[in-house]
Amino acid sequence: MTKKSNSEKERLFEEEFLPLTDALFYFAFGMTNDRTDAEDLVQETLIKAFHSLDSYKDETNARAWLFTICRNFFINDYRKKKRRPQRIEIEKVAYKESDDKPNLRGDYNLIFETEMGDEISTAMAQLSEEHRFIILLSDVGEFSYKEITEILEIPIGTVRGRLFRARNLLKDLLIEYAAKKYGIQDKRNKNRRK
Amino acid sequence: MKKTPEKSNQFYRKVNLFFDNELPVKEKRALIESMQRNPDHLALFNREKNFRELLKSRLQEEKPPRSLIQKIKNRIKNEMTGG
Repeated sequence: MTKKSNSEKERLFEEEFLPLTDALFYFAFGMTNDRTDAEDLVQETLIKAFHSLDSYKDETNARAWLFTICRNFFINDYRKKKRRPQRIEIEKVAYKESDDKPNLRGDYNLIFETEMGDEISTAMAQLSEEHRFIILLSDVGEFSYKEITEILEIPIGTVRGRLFRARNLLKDLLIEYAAKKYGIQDKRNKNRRK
Repeated sequence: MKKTPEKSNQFYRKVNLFFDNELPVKEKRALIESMQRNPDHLALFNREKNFRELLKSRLQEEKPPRSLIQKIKNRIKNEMTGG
C-alpha cells in the first residue's frame, strides 16, 4: 500500500471517480428503488472510496473497484440499517428449472405493445438481490462478464447463467404486468411461474 | 431444415451473448448468417434488441440531483479539515 498525498488523492478522485457518479446512481437506484436512499448510497460509496485511495493501485479498474465498494456497502450497511430481509433464500425456493427456458414464442412482444413505465422498476424490485445486481452490472454498469466475476466473486459460468435467468425472470414479470394492465390474455403455460 | 426448440434456445443464448458483447467474432458472423436465412431468428434478435434498449433507458431514467457531487466534495473537505 502506497500512501498518497491529499492533493494526489483529490486529483485522482476528481479525474477517475467523480465522473462515475451518474452510473453509480443508476446502480444504487436500481438496488434501492428510492431516490434518497440511492443518493445516500452513492455518497457513502464515494466517501469510502476517497478514504481508501491509499489501497487503490493505478492499474486497477476504477469502475469495477467503485461498484464493488457500492455493492459491499449495500450488503453490509444499507440493508442492515433498513432491516430489510434478504430475499435470495425465498427466490431459491421458488426457482425452477423452467426459469432457464426462455420465452421464445413472442409473448414478450406484449412488453413493447404496451407502455412500460414504472412496471420495470416494480419488476426489478420483485427480483432477488442477486438477480438485480447482475442485471444492473451488465445493463447499467456495462461491465463485461469477466469484470462481473471480479465484482461478485463468482465464476464466469455462473455469471452467464445467472444473467440469462435474471433477464428471463424480468421478462416474465413484465409480460404478466402488461397482460394484467391491458387485460390481454397471457398465453404462456400457467404453471410456468407457479 | 426442421426447427427444434433446442436449436432456438441455443440461438437465443447466442443472441444474449451478442448483446452482452461476449460472442466471439466467428460466432457473430454465424449468428448474422443464421438471421439472414431464418426470419424467426431475425424476429427474436430484434425483440431482444428492443428489450435491451427499453431496459437500459428505463434503468437510467432517474437522474442524480445536480447538487450531489458538490455535497460529496463538501463532506470530504469537512472530514479532511476536521470540520
